[in-house]
Amino acid sequence: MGKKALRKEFYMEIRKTRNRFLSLLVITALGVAFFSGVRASNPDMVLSADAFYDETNLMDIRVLGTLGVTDEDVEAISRVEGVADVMPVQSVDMLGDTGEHQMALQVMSMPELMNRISVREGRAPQKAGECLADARLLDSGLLEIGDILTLRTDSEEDVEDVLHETEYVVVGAGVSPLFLSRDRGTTKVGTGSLDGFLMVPMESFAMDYYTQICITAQGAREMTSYTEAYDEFVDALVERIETLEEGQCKLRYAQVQEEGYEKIAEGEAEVADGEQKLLDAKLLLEEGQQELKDAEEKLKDAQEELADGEATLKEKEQGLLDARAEIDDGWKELTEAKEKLVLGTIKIEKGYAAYNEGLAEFKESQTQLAAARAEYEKTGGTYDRLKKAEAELTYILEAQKYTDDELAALGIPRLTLDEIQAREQELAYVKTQLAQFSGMEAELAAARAELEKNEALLAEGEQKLQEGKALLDKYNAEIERGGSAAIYAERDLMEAEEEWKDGRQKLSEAREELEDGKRKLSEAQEELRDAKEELKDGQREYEEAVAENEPKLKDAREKIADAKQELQDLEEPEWYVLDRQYLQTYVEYGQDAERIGAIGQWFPAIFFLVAALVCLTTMTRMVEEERTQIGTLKALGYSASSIAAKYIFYALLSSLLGSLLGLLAGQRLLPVVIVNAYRILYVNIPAVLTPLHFTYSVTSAAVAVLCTTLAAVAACYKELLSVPAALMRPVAPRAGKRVFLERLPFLWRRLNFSYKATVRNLMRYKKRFFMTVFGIGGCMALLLVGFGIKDSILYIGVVQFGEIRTYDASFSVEEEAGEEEKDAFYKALSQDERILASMWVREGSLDVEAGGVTRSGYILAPSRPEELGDYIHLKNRISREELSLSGEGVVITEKLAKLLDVQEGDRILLKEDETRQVETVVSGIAENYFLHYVYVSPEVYETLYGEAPVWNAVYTDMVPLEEQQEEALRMEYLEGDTVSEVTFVSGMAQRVADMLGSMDTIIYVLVIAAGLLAFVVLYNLNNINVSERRRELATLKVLGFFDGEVSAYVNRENVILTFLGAFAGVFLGRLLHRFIIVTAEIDILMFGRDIALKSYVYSVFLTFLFSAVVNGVMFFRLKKIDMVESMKSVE
Amino acid sequence: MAGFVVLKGVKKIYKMGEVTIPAVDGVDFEIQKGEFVVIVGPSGAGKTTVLNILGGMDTCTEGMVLVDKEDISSYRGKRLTAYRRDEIGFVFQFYNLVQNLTALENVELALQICRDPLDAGDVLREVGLGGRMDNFPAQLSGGEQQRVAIARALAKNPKLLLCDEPTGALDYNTGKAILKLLQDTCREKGMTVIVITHNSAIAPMADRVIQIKNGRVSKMTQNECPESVENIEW
Repeated sequence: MGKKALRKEFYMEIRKTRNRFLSLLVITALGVAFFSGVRASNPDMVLSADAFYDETNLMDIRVLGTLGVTDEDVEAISRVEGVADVMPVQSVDMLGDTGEHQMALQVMSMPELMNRISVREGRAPQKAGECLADARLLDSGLLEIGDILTLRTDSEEDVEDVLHETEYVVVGAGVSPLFLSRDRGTTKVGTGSLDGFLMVPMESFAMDYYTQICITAQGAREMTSYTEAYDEFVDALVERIETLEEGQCKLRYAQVQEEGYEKIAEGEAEVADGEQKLLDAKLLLEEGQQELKDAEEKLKDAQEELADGEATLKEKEQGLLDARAEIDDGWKELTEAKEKLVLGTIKIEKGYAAYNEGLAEFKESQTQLAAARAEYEKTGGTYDRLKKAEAELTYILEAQKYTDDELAALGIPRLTLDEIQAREQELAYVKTQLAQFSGMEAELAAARAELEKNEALLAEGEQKLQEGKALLDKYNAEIERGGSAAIYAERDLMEAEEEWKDGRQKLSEAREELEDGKRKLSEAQEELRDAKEELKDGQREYEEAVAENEPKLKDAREKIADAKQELQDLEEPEWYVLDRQYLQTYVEYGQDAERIGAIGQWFPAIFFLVAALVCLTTMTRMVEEERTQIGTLKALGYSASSIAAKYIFYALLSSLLGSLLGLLAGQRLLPVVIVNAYRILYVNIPAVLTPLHFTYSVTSAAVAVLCTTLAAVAACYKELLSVPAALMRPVAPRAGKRVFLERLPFLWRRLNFSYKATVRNLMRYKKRFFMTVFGIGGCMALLLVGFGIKDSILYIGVVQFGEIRTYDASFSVEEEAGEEEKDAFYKALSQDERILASMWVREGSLDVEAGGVTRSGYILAPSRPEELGDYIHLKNRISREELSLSGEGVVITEKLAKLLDVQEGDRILLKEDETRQVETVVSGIAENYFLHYVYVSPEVYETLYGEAPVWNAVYTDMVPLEEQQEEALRMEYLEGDTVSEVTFVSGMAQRVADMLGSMDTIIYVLVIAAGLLAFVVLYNLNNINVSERRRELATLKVLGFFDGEVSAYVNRENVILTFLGAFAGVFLGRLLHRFIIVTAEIDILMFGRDIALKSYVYSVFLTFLFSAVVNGVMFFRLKKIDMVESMKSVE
Repeated sequence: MAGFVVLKGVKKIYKMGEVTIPAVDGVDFEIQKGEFVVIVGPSGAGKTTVLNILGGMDTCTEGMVLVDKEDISSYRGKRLTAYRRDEIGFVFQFYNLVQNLTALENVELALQICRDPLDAGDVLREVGLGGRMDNFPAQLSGGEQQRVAIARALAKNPKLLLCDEPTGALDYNTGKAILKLLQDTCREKGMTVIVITHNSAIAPMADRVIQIKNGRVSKMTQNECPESVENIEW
């Protein structure tokens, strides 16, 4: 292309033949777009999910322990090399209740570091008692923001052991990267399937261990999920974490043992406490009885005392009466004594008067005597005294002659010589004195004798006086004594009187006291009776307490024993170190992405093939057209390569531009459409990423460019080998040939002339024939696939809910509902005019296993299997055989059978949980499109499970109802406690229909693609056809064919080709449709396998429409053909 | 008497942007019914354009074209096509047979659109191809192909038989035979035949010779006694 002229010619060529150039461009663009676009959908799905995982920081690994995991484990794991972050998580499946709705919830601690929730509405919980709900719960109408949710456990475990609070306010709703799809998995609580998750603050959990630890790996975030590199990288970390398992598990084991024994000890203490309390109560009771007895005793004593007191009182009263009499006597005596005393006193007074007279006489006598004495004394006295002193002194002196001993005996002292002398002198004086009186002695003696006689007389008188006086005194004293005695007696009497009064007082007081005592006694008796009553009560209470607590205690003791046993049996815990491969939605999403990848593997190849063929024909035709020019250039001496370069570059440029366009359009648009369709399932994927993929871009572009260019080379090759002269000679027109049909004259003759020509023409241009058929067939196939996919999905709704599950509504009954409640409800149902027929069934979730494959499904046992056909129509899809539940075994649904790879007669395992599993045989495989079911007759159910099925739902057929009427009916039945939910089949069918809304996009894409394909192929081939037959057509025109007749002449061929193409397309489309449906369908769904007649009609119609449009365009091209062409020489 | 074919002041002017190129620049002639007319002129003189206008394949820019008293210069589109199919038979230099149809079928191709056709077999026999009716064009020689083409044109029973260099692609003898066939047809059927050629040597066989140069009729001569083809050498 170094030559300027050639270069210019090249550009001119493009300008002149821009239609051809554009059609080449478009067909390559289509091919590349589909090829790279569909292929890119797989990585784009992965990337979109990965971006979401990265944004929410989805964990890479989680560790679950059979005995839970602890802070120590968290600590240990966080030290493992390669661990980025560690987050302990609590997670418990519980039942939630808003009062209006019940739901099975996975209650989890609000994640912070990883698995971040994207809050869709409201806000995250900030304090205890708040929660964030799964957005799905809001979508399904179970919850609203602001609702208060009460949580409870399904097992015997106390809510308090799990959560501190049981009521939570819904403050927000969000989505978790742990759940990409609508499905939330199964659970042991409630009906068996989870309705959603609930995030509550970590502090709300009461458990002292964590259920799992989530881990992110360092550097894993930068890698793309679902890739081998990522898996290997995370696996390495899993292995490192697993090395911790043994040590940490041993620790945990010890800890649990210790805690367990502590708890047992606590329990034992509690039991002991309880026992002690009972014992105390017993003792107390006994004490009470004793006290009562004592009290009775005392009361008896008191009674006796009181009786004694009464007796004493009576005696005392008698005493008092006696005392009164005595006192009265006393008073009488006193009065008498007083009278006597007065008389005595008078006598004594008289006596005293006589005495005083006597005394006075005496005194006078005495005085006379005294005077007489005094006279005597004047003389006679001194004499006497002297005589005496003389006698004495003489005596003492005389005595001194005696011995001392004798003296002592006489009592006379031993005198000293001096004393003796003194005494002798004294004696001598006395004797001198005495000597004076010697002559008067006789007189003196007479006076004295007289005196003495008087004195004696006086003394006698005095004696008498004295005696009288004494007597008087004595009387006086007596009187006086009598008087004082009377006074005393009076005083005594007064005192006695006083005392009596006192006594009386006291007595009355005593009486009162006694009365008091009596009263008190009766009160005490009353009290005693009460006390007895109380005691009896106490006794009863005690007995009750015993009756009540003894079993509890026994239980507790048993529990403790069990716990001990358990603890002894406790095995060392294990860890499960799980990577993302154990996240259900993660895996499912990956599988779906792979499915798209599988579709991308083959499906776009159709476009490529068509595109390559179209390119080949186009380039061949182009070279043929320019045969003369090639010859001329060769003749001029241009080299083969520079001549070929034009065609090669032409093809290269158009295919390159087309590829670029296709790459952009395909990789930007198609994945969005496809991923959006999958977002019906994976609602949580927030955005679709559609980067350009280098590999797909390069490979598809390279293949496209190479195909086209090689086609150009191949086309040139033959021409370039010829010599210029041959090239400049017109190529001999291809000879007409008889066709096969002519050998069937009976048929050939019947064809009118135009058709004969058409048939010959069709046979003549075989390449065009096959390419057109292929192109039209591809278009038809694409359309069929598009409509067919819709049919297949619609089938779920139409057939599943229109032909298979024909019941109108199901009423789920509370699991706890009693027989009477159920009977009452069923009776109400039977009387309801809106309900035509109804039947009890048993519904439940279970896992079905066969050959190591497990799928979740539902078991359904009808109460009257012979009537099941009125509600659920069981038949085999392929053999059309009606199935019944008679006989052994169970009927399972088709997709389940396919997934488990079981046939009629094979054995399957029905598992409710690890402990409850039974084996049975498959007796039939039923057509079914949504979810998996195991149908079983009540008899078989009983043999399998050993108990008759407990009915928990009623299937009903109803009169046709409007939506509002359905809602009214639903509310009506939900009001009671028996019905937990009413589900209308119409609603389910509606949901399936809603799902279809987004499938329309895929159909549009396919229809547009099909249209483009048809258009490009037909236009291109027609173009070639017309240009090849330009001369012939011009001749026809000259012959006087009208434009319509000319185009009819050409179009007749096209119409026939379109027919043939459409016919081929039916087969191709069915094949492709089946391939896509089977590849793309998810586990719980079975798409319809058939394409509806309507879709065939649409597809054929559209194919013909596209063909007609192309033919219409061709009409104008034909019209433009200049008749002058017919004059030209053959090129 | 007005001619069967009358051209008056016929001009065909092509406009190529600013430039106007007159291909035919005022042609006038008349032809009587049943005449054998040869239009001669050098290449590019405009004779083919005249033929095209006359055959209803092109329209003139100016002037009047009367064929059997009908002014076809005003015809456009369908009417023109109808004129072609009913009034005109056309013989091309390169025969323009449909390769995919047998000789008979090629004739029939023309007949099926015609109002009053002749029998295809008869016509083919008349042109001397009675035994080769079921042959495809590729199985026929050039002369035979041209005979088929002539048969195709004649079978329509046209008013005018227009031949564009009918011998141009044929060898001398075959060309002569074809010209003879045309002349005989003219004489025997009273068909008006107009042959365009650059070979002025055949002019003596025509009843009327029209010479065209530079888009105009330079000379028109009438041969009172035209030569038979056999007697013409070139």
